Amino acid sequence: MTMPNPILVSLLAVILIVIGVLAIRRRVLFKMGVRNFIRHKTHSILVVAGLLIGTSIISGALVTGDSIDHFIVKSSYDGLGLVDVTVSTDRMDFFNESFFWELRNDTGVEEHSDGISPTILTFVSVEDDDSGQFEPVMTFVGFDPSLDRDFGQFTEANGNETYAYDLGTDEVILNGRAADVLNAEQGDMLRISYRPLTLQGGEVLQKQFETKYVVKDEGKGQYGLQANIFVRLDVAQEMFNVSGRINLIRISAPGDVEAGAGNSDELVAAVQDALDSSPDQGLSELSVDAVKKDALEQAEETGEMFSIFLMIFGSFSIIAGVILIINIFTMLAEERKSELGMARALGMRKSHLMQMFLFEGSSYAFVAALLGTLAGLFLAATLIFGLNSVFAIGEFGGIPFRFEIGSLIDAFCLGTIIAFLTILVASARITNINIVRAIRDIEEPVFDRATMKTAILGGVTLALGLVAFFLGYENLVIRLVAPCLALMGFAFVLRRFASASIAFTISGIAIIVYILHSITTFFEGEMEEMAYLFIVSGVLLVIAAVMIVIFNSSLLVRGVSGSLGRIRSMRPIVKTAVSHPLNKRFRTGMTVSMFALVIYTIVLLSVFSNIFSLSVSSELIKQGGGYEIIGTSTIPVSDLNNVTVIDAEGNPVRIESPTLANDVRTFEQIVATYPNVTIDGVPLGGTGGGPMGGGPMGFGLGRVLGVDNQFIQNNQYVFAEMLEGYTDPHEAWDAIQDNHTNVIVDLSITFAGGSGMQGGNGITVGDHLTIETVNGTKDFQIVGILDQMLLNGIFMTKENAQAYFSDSFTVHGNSVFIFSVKDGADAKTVTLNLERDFRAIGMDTRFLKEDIESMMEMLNSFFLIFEIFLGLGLIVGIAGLGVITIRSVVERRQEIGVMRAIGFRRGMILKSFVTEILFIATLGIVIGTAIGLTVAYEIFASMMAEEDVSFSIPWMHLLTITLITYVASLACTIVPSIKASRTSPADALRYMG
Amino acid sequence: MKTNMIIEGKNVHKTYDTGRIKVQALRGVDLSVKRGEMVSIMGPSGCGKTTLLNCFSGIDDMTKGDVKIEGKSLREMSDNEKTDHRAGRMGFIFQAYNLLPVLTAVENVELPLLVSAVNPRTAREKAIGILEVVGLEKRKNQKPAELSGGEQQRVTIARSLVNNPAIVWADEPTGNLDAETSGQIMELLCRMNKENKQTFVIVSHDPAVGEMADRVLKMRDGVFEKEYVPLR
Repeated sequence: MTMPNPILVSLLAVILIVIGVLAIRRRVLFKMGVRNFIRHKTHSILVVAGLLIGTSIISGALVTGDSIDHFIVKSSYDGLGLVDVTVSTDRMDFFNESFFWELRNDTGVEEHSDGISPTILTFVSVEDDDSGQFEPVMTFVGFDPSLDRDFGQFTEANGNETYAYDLGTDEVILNGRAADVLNAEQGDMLRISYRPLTLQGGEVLQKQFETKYVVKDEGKGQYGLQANIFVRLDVAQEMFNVSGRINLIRISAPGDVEAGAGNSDELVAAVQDALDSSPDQGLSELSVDAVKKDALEQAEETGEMFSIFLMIFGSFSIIAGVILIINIFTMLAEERKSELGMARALGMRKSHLMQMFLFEGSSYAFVAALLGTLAGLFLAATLIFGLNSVFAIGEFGGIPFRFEIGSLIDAFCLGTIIAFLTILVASARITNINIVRAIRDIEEPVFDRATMKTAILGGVTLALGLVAFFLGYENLVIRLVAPCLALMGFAFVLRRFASASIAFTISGIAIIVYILHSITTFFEGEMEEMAYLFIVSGVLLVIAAVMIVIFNSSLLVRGVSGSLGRIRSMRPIVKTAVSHPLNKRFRTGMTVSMFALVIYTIVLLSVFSNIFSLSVSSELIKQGGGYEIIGTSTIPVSDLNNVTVIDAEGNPVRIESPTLANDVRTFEQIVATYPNVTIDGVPLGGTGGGPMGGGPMGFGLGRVLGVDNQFIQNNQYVFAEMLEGYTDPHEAWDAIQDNHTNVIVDLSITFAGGSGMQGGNGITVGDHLTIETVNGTKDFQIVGILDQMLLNGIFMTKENAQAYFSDSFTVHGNSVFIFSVKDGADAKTVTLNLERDFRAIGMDTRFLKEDIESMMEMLNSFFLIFEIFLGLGLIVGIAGLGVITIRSVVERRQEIGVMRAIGFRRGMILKSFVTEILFIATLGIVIGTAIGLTVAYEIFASMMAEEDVSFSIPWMHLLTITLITYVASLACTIVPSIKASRTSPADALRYMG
Repeated sequence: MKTNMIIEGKNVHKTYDTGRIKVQALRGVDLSVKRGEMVSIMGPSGCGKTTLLNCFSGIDDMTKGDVKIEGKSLREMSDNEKTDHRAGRMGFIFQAYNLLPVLTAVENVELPLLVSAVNPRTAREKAIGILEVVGLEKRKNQKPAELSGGEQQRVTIARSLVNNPAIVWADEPTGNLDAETSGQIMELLCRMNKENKQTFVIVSHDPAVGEMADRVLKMRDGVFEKEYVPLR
């Protein structure tokens, strides 16, 4: 169980104690505050609804993180079962089984383990002769039932458990996943196609097995969470001609599935000691990995990363929630202005009023935080449902909905603390009243020039901003914020000499220019730092833009009246609708900011998801390089045209593929191998990780592709970059033929393990890759970068690949194939037929166009989920509008009466309110959209312009978001607006506020 | 038969029903006002003066009886017809001024014209013209909060007269003003009455207001108690 954050809990406890003590000392004030909370039920509901969004986002983010954490943890537990530590090489090379016996007899290992088993783990192609189904790639596990006893039993479909001691030499066990894909049942005859190490070229062996057991996907049956086929170890050794050799040792640390990981450090040390002291010289490449512990740590990191990611994106909505609190309290203070003035006149101090608001605000904060925490559960459940649908991870059981009480407590604490601190600041601001003006309910005067006190405060802010800028220049956030702070201070100084409009317009424009300039100059670095810059710049841009608009409201009124006012019947409506919000600058500015902030993030995300989708689409199409189908085989072959299968009876049968002969125009055969690749000592990408480890059958990021002359002549791939001096792609290809230490890479290599906004790892032409070869490590210079990433590798000639990596069995043939389909042939059908024709070598084919389409669909859905998550912030804005409208109806009751008396029809009153709501929403939408598009363009221009993508705005998408915002805003405000329009003029005139 | 009466109310009743109690504010009031006449309704607080004004002007519904304004029955008019009638043919002056605080003086004054779909430029010219008449042309761009009580009331009067209404309803027009300003306001109303031949129905409890009217009707407990022509 995750424990709640002690700092958050302590902070909340302090707040509760302070409120408690104050409540006891000032019972009357406490009663007044709490009664205000109970008095206006509709109002309170809206306030709580607005406030709970922030907490729900925090809670949703944490719970989603919990669920993902749990999913990975569960996957690790399920996939590894009792296995805690593995011994293997990175490429799953074979080694002497004698080392297993050394380990088994080692007292240190024995002391720190409760199970150890030798294993052969590889991939084969399987065909079910009874069902007719085949699977080109299936995990093949050779195990010794007796030695594997400590790892538990298999569970049959009928619930019976078995150690499978009775597994015969021509029998296999299928797990649930394997049985599903093959449509297999107990007793089915299976044909396994495989290639022993000693066999090379175009021959593939087949062996027939009977399905002895179909076992459930539980315990060791679901090892690696793959479709597994289990055979006896001696049978596997014989098949692959590796007698007395294995490629994996699985070891269990003391304790059950969950406890074992905690005991794996001692076990790893003991195994490493045994390894170091082994006389066997062939073990130098073996590594001992605490696979479960690593996976659990990765799970925690991934879950935490996801929570942070959601929180960063959700922070705009949280900020919008904070603004809503300030707005609500400002309105509460306006509503109770006379009341507050009278209280002050009767002897209550400012601190008393503040306490009263704090009591009331705390009631809202606690209720909202509680409900928000619960709402977060629903939000997380929705997000997880979305993620499960998008990524189709149902076959792994899907991400389960799981939450930790500690996370909920954290969300509650954080939500309450944010709301409470905001209320504290808002209360301090609103209780600063002039008693006479408050009693008489006279509007606060607006001075055109700043007072000396304000100007001095502005000067101090200006100075602080400048000092912070110079002292904290190295910190990017300070470099961004400090000048903006200085400019705000400057505006207050300037107001002493010029009008507010001039001062804030100059300051606002300067802030916007500075931030946009910043984006193009120093927005770089790690993703997390960039995220903070992104949030801060967004907030500052919105504040600056809203400031400019609000302080130039007269121009806006004139503009809107001039345009909409051309419609005769709309003139009086527009006049009143626009004047009201702009007369309440603070309130309107706050509401507009709420909308603008959320719209800004949505627009930014939409634009980049659009650009990304388009670029991915065009990239992937381009990446075909003139080929439509890509295939990989688990068994390498020297020539696809000449593959012979030695069937179970020992008869050679040549694979005939009418599809290859008739429908394929041309195809290339590429050698693939997976050596360790480093650049400046840092491994390229990962080692594969997970229960299966890295390996020859995986798609490791450091794979070397050996290409022949035909490929070099035929391929139409274009280069993203070439070494200086090369003008033609042929020069780059010639370079790898002429010089053995030259290589060409594709974009996947430049992205491997990268971070930062551009996702790259900085690898470029001229750089050197260090690759582990059979003759030790060698340096290779990159002479070109192909503008594609589907082939995913480091290109050298076949001859070189074989010379450098000849000990790796994968090099003894081609395992990557790219096909170009003849005109008139249906590429999708060809894809399926090729897979069927070459099933014996484990051919797995992909139709690139379909891949692209499904990838696009997945990407779009993924972005949509996040947009919906961000869109939650709109609820804050809309709730804010609802509160304002309800308040306006009450506040303007007499005005409504007068308007009705002088000739405004009911419909006109309704239109006036609706226009006002739409006006505020429009300001927010326009400001948010404009800033979002500008920032998106700036980021695009500074970071992506050189890439082969164009800036594109998803207008239809943005229009849909705008329409949804309008409809939701109207839905939330229409009831009070109708109520306003139905007010009897006589009643309204009688109302004294 | 054509009548010279611009307002004719017969047996007008108004009962406020709060659910728990019923209050009879008007108990069968008959009132006829001639075109161009200035009538003052007087009486103590709570006698039904404002209710009478609201019911006779059409901004509130009567419980029983009928009122004809320029020969048209309020009972037969829809809410929109009553509203349009008010916009075109009536002006209102309230004790609390009831100017829209977010609009400037001139914008407040031109609002009834805009409601009646008058061209904005014409509306602005007329509004400035009427502000000149009430002596506030120099304060036209000030918002209500920046004007004194007397000035605000003059803006209200300007607003009530800007559409050249046939009837001006004034509810305690001097209620919030000192004696001197009250006098100035009443003189202004009388001048408008004489010059424009507009009908004024003024509700007030101030005897000084009554003295300036053509006719005074005294109310008590929802009925007229007495009617007289003030001596000048």
